[in-house]
Amino acid sequence: MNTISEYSLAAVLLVIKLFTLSMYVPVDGENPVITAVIFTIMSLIKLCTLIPLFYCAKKQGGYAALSGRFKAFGCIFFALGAAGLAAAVSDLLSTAIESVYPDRYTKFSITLIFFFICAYIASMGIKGFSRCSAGALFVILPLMLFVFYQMRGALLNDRLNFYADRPLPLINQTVKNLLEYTVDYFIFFGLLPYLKGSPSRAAGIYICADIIIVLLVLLTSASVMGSFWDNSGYIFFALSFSTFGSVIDRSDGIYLAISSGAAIICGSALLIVLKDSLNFFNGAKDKNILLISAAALTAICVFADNLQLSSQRLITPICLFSAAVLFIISCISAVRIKRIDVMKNERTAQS
Amino acid sequence: MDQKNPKPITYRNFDSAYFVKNLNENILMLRTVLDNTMDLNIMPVRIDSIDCAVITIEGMVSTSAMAELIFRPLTELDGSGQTPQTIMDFLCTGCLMSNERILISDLGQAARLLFSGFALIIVDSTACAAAFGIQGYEKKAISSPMMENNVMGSQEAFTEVVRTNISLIRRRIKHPSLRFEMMQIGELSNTDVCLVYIRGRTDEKMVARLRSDLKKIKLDCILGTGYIMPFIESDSPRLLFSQVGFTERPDMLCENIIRGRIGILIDGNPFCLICPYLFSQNFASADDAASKTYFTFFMKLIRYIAFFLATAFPGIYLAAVNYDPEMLNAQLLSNLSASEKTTMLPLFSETLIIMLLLEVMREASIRLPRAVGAAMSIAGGLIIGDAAVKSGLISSPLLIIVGITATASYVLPSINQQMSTLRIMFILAGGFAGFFGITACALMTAANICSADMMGIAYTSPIAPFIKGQAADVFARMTFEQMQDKKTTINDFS
Repeated sequence: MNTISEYSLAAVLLVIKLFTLSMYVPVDGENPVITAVIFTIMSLIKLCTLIPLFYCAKKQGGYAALSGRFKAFGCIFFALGAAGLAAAVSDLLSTAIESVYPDRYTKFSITLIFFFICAYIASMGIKGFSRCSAGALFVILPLMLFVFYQMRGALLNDRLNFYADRPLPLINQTVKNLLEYTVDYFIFFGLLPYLKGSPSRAAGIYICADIIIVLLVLLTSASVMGSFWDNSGYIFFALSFSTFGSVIDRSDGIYLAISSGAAIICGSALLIVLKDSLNFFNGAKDKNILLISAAALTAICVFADNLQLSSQRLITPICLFSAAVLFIISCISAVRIKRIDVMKNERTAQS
Repeated sequence: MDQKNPKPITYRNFDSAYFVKNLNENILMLRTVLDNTMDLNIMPVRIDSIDCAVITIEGMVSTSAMAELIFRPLTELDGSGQTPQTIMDFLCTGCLMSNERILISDLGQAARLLFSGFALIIVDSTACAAAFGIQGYEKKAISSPMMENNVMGSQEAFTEVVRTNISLIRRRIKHPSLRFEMMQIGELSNTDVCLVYIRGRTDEKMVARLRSDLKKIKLDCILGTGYIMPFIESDSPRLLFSQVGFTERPDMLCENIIRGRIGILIDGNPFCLICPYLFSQNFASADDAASKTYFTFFMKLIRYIAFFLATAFPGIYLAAVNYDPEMLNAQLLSNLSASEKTTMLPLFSETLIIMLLLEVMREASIRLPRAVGAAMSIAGGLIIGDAAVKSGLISSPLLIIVGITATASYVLPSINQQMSTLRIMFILAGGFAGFFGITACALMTAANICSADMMGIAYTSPIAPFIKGQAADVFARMTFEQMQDKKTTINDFS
C-alpha cells in the first residue's frame, strides 16, 4: 500500500489550513486577538480529541482506525463527510473567484474544472498527491509572506488588544465561526490510514505548525485591519479594503492563485478519502470511481447552486454530524480494543 | 543428428535446425535458411583432400584479418595428413585465429554469428561449425558529443557500435566489479543490448527487474532507445517526464553507474539509457564537476529559472495581462496597451499562434540540411519576427516573451519535448482561466511529476521525499571531499 510520512501528512494539512485561512470570514465586531487565543485553545482540544484515534490507529492499523465491525459504518460517514466537505470547498472557491472576476467565470465552469483537476491529482496516488502538496507548501508560504511583507507599512500594532464590548457573545460567535473552518481535522482523520509513521508525531508536527501559521496570519491581518474588521468579507477583501487598495490589490491575482491551489489540494484529499470509502463497498479497487465521484459532486454543486441553496449551510451540519459519528465510533472502538486486550491478557494469565 | 531437423528447413524454423555430417547438405541448409541472400559468401577450401568451407557475410568481416587469421593457418595445415576431426580440433584449440572462437552446432546461432561479423568454418564429416570473430564492418568513428557539449572534460561520445561503446566505458572504469551483460532483443533484428552496472553498487533486484523487463520485449526490431524505454517504465505510462534518462557521453554514464544506476547500451545507437533517472538530473551538466561548487549552484539556479521561463512564462504573461493587469507596473501596462492596440488578434490567439510558429521553426531547424540553416534564420528572424510586428500580426512585447522563452528552452535540450508540451498547456490554462488556470496546471504537472516512482525510487528524490544530506546535489553539487566520505548510491534514495 502507498504510504506517506508524518511530515507529508503535516504538509498536506497545512496547505489545507492555508486555504481555510484565505477563505476565512470574520464575524461582526470580531476581536482578532481573542480569536487567536480561542483558536490556540481549540487546537489543544483538537489534539486531545485525537488521542483515542491514535490509540485505534496504533492498535488496529486498519482503514480509518476503525475496527472491522465498525468499518462499513465508518466508511458511510467518511463518504458523507468527504463529499459534503468537497462540495463546500468547491462552493467557497467558486464564490470567491466569481466575485473577483464576475464577467469572466461562472460558478458552473469553476466547479466543473475544480473537480476535474482534483480527480486528476487524486488519481496520481497518495504519494504523488502528498509530494505535490509539500511542494505547494513551499511555494505558497513564501508567496503569503510576500503578500504580508507588502503590508508592512499599514501595521497598526496598537489595535492588538483584548478589548471587547460584550465578550461572552463574541466568544460564542467566534467559536461557532472557527468550527466551520475545521476541514483539516476531518482530512487528518481520513488520511491516517496512509500514514507510515507515528500518528501522534504527525499530529504534533501538524498542530504546532498549524498554531504558528494561524497566529501569524490572524495577528498580521488584525494588526493591519484594526477597526476595519467589521467591514470585512473574506480576509483577503478585508485586507484590500483596510489598506485602501494601495498594496494588496496588486497582489490579488497571486492571492487568488494561492487560494485556488490550496483549495485544489484540499479537494483532492477529500476525493482520495471519498474514493477509498466507496471502494470499500465496491469490493475491488475501481479506478473510475474517482471520476464518478467528481462528476457526482459537480452535479450536486451545480444543482444546489441552481436551486439558490447555500450549499455551505446545508453541508456544514452534514459534515459536523459525520465527524461526530466518526469520533464516537473511534472512541467505542478504542474502548472495545482495550477490553479485548484485557480479556486476552486475563486468558493468557489463567492458562 | 539428421532426425532432429525439421523438414523442410526454412528461415521460419531455422532456430531448431542443426548441422549434419555432410558439408554440401550443411551449405544447402545455410543457403535455405538465409534465403540464398546476395551477401552470403561461401568459399570452398580443400585441406588434405578434406572439403571445407569458409562462410561469411559480405561487408561484415575484415578481409585482411580473414587472410591473416583464417586462410594462412588453414593453408599451413595442408599436406600434414589431417582427418576432419583433427582439423576441427586444430581450429578450436590448436591455433589462435581470433580471440572470439565458438564451436556451434545449431543453425540459429550460426546465422546470428554470421550477421554479427563472424566467419564460419565447416568441415566435411563433422556436425558442427567453428565461428571466429573477425568483424571488420564500416563504422562511424568516435566523435564529439552533439547534444551534451561541455567546455572542460572529455570530448568523446558514444558511437553506434555497442562493442566500441563497451570499450569506452571499460577504459574509464578499470575494476573487476564493472559488469556487462549482453542480450539480443528484437525478433527480427536481434539487436545487441548490453546492461552495464557495477556489482556491489547496484541493487541486484533492480538489475533482475530490468533484465526481465528487457527479455519480455517482443518487438520485431529495436532501432533505438525509444523502442525500449516504454517497456522499462511500464509502471507509470501516463507520466509526462521519463524516468529513464539518456546520455551520449561515456563519462556521464560512468558517473551514473558508479552511483548505482544501470546503463543500457543498444547496438546501432549512440545514446545510452540510464535508469533509474531523477528529475534533478535533467538540470545537471557535464561541466558541473569541473566548476567550483558556488558556480555550480549558480548555474543550476539558472537552469531551474530557464525551465520556469520556458514552460510557464508565456502563460503567466497572458494571465497577468488578460486577467490581472493591475499586477503590472503602470508604465509597462500603458506600453503593453499601446502595442496591443496595433494588433488585429486578441493576445491569447497571438500567443498561441506565435508559440506554434516557434515549434514549427524549431522542428525545421532540427530537420533541415545544414546548408540551408542561414536561410532558415533569415526566414525566422526577419520575415516572421520583424514583418509580423510591422504588419500588426503580433505585438513587440510578445515577441520579446517568445525570444526569452525560446532561448530558455535551449538551456535544457534533454527535456525539450516536455517543456514544449507544458508551454502550450500553460498558455491554454492562462488564456482560458487566468491565474486560477495557471495554478491548476502547475499543480497537475507537479502531481504528475511527483507520482513517478521507478524500482522504489521516487523521481523527485531527494527533495520529495526529502533525504537528508543528499539534497545538495539538487541545487549545487557535493564537494569531492563529501563524495569521498559518503560514496552515495541511488539505493540511498529508496
